[in-house]
Amino acid sequence: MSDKKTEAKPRPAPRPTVTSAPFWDAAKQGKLVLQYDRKAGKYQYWPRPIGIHSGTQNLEWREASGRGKLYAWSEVYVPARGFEDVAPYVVAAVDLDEGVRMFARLVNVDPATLKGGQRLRVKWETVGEDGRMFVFEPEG
Amino acid sequence: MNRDNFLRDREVAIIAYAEVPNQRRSGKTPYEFCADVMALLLERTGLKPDQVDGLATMMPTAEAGNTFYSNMLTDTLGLQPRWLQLSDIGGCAPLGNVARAAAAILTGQCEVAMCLASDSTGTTGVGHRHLGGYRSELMETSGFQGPPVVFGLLSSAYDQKYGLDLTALGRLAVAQRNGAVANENALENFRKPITVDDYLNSRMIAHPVRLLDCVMRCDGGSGLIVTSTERARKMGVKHMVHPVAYAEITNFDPANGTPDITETGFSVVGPEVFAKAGLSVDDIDMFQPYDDFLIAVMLQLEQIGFCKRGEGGAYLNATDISPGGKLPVNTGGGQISAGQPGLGGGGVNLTEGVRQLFGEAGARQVPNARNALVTGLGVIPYARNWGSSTCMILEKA
Repeated sequence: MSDKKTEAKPRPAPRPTVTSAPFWDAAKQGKLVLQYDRKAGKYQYWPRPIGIHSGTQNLEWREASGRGKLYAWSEVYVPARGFEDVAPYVVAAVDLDEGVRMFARLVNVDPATLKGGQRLRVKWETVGEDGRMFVFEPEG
Repeated sequence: MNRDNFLRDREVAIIAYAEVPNQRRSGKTPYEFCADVMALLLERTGLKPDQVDGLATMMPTAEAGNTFYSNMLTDTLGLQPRWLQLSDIGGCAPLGNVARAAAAILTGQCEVAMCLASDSTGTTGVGHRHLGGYRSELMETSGFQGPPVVFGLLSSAYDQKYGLDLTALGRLAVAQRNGAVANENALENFRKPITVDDYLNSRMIAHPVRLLDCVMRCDGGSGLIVTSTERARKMGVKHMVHPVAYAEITNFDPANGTPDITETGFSVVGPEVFAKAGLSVDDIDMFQPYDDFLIAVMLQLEQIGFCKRGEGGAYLNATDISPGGKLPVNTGGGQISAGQPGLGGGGVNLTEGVRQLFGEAGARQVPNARNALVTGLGVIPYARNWGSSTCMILEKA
């Protein structure tokens, strides 16, 4: 056995609910999907069991553009469990073009030069055996 | 009862407070802290356990998973309440329970309510909990673990919109620490002064949030006895403090998919609590705001109306917030310098407000204090500002 201190802890895996399962199934295909409230004509995120804009369950999943802009960010020095290998890393609130905000890690960025409003696009990382996790990077 | 402000007629009174010293790792349970607090409350009021017919408490992190907590607490303490309340509005619970107890008293559900807050997160940590929904599924999977990261984002949003004045936050840290030095219930290792440079040079946790921006989890407990003013008079109590106005909001602005996270529920409950009390910010003798992070105090100053949006830093730089100053703020150190006994942490700010109005704050006593504004703040939602915001004005009888 190797020294426990140097062992990389596994990334935490999502435990999908009945509601969020389609989101994670799409993620495995490298697709970002959002719930669309057909009654209200609006997107919502995170996955919820009811449309918060209409109060109905008239929801469908639609593939999102995967593009948006940077709202706020922070360079994390005390890593979350499973992220010790990438610390310090940058997390952000990203406003998608569909009008919803996502929390995600940013990659391929220098935190010193980030600017509010800058364009970002989704990128997929492999996690564990068959999981995929979204991160964002600057739009090329 | 007055429907615009059910507290207006001062028919409800806080007649006793108690707080045990915060400890980093006590090895004790939330039940044991509640017992310590109850013993003090009974001693100070002369009440017997069978005279307490109402009990309000909060869900301690250390008891997460125990869905029978409040009931087991009654058995532990030997109480037989006719009104029982368990609140889980995060850090807002201790203050929210005063309003809930007042409503129960005014509607005849109980006459003498004990409000208890305790937790042992210094001993248990928080990792044993399972947080469903977005926390485990969408935050921890992206490297968002713990409040400092989210407050880092809030600070980033504030900095882009208004500019973040780190020196002003440092001054707030120093003032609160001075309170802890004079507070025998503060965590022992926090009872020494700090400087603005100590704040600025403290270890970075989640940029720009530094170690000295954050609360330290610990173990502890506090509580109050709330009863009708009529009963309090019959008892011949020495001190009474009336809750005179209260406002609460949860899940502020849910329909906004991309909100300005520097705007919070305090923009609603701050102005509302003053309207209910018929007071203005200039009438307030002290401010005991819920403080998990320094920036939360600054945002509350702005949104409650002590200053304008974006001027919180300038306000802190220009205002004496010490006990003898224009607006004394978190005179006992707040949670940031006295310690945060888990989800009972709101009791630190609340108890200090009552203690001050009883005139029992010793070296940190605010002279001639007639009233106090106390707040609560609770729960971190997904990609928005905090979940619950509460404001209460307390007035010396």
